[in-house]
Amino acid sequence: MFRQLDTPSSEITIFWEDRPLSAYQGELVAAVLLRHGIHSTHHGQSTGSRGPYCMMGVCFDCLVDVDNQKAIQACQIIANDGMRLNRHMNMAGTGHTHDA
Amino acid sequence: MTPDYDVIIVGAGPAGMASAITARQSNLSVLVLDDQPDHGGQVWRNIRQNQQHHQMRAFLGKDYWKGHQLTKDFLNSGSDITHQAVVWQISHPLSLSVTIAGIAQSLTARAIILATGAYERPVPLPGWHLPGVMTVGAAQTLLKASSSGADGAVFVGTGPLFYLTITQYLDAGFSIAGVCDTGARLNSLSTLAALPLALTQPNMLRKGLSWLRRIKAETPYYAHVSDIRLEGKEQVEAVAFAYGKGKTKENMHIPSSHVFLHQGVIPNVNLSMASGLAHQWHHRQMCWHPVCDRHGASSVEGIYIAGDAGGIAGAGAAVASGHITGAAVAKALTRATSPKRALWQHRIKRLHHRALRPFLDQFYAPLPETLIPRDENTIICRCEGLTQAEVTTAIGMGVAGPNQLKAYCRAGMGRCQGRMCGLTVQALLADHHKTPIQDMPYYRLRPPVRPVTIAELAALHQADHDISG
Ligand code: FES
Repeated sequence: MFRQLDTPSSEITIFWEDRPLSAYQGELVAAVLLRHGIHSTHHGQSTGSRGPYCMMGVCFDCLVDVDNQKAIQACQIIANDGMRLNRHMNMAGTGHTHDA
Repeated sequence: MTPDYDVIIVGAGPAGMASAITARQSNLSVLVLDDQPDHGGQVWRNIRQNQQHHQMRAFLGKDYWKGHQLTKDFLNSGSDITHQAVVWQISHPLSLSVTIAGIAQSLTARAIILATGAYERPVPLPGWHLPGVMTVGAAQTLLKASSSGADGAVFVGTGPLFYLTITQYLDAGFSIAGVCDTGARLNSLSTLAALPLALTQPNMLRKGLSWLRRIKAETPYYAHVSDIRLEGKEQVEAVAFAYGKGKTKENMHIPSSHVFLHQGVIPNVNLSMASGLAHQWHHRQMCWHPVCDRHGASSVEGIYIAGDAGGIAGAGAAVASGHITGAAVAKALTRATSPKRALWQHRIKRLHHRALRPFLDQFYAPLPETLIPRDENTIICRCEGLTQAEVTTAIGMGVAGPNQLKAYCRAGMGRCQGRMCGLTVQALLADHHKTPIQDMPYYRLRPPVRPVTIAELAALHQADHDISG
């Protein structure tokens, strides 16, 4: 499991499938999830479980649903207090999902 | 209509920041659009925050802190800087479509510099799609951006970033379950031929050797690794591989829930390809480079390339190349010439940094089994979940090139738009047709190079309409 070496900033709380996770102001969402042992962030009918791979926005395997937005790259966004995250489910059977 | 800016730079890494600084010295108006949360690129990621914890984060190393001065100069340069800005299209004459905070807009410039950097070469090994398998660069990003790391991880790969990250992990105090070295082969004539030039940079060579010595002493280290499999059901549980040479070859199995892969980096060319710039196959680096002259001018008037986006040479060369391209743009737009001495210093610096590259490219060449996967169940296209068997079956049905393949099996049609499968598909096709790799084209890329929602597009059209109407 990923662990943090120091306490970088003030603590906030985000929610993964309604479970509260402690995070730090300014922390990448993908980093928070990995620190809490959540490796798989999205699931697709044709791909199975996937999680962060590149951490720089190129692989699109770290997709999560954030508040009301679907299929957001967890490695590209910063955690905000109270943020509600859910596993992104793609049952369309292709890599394209409807964003809107 | 006057353009919004004289120069728009895409990317705030070493090359983007350096070109902004130089362009601003000629009083050009500069906008820098960057898709990450802060400047620094991948190399100096999160340097602004880390600077405040300098003591605690000393493990990031000397080369990392070198970025401090340039980032300071960049922030003081008077450039407009926007982060989390995703550029998805460039149109001619020069305008660019970008989404910032969910809102798409169109911006015009007299010149555009693409400093989009590099990303890690995809490593299609059996099981590389499993959660828990990440790139070495990803592990390093987590260290820089979040000062976090994983104990008991296995590192599989080769190359400067590979050894550097392991050293940073050691300095930060994380335990390492195994280092599987797939590279360092001093066995070809071309590697030896590149050695004399590399020897002109003894300091850089020495740094590499000291990393390796330390890794061998402080981790369970395996040399000449091949036949790699990442095992697990819902997530990775173990790495299986062979190590050693010839008759002394042995099999090994290391349980771990964190595996970090690395086989070098390649230029991030999606935007330059989709913008219609000419590209050429680079034999030694085994990837596509945009065609540009020594100032960074591309095949399309007004569009320039700076840094690793134009070919892999590392951060030091990227800074020099950014300054050189910034000066070239200033000259083209204002006829002002930069001070000759400064320009020569940058040129010489760039030469120095590039001197080691041919040797590094050969010595740390990607493992053949990652270039043309032979295992049938290996995922080739991550987005569509396509295996090697599915792709080769489609190819066997008479597919001539990558674009036709899309129609047969949807390879390359997912969200990443070929970034994770393009080179593998090209290699599999070339292998099947016995065509030299450079003669097999890449996917034909079209904008938008990032998924764009209908709502974003509609808003953009509305805005355009408002302006023209
Ligand atoms: S981890 Fe690759 S895009 Fe987020």
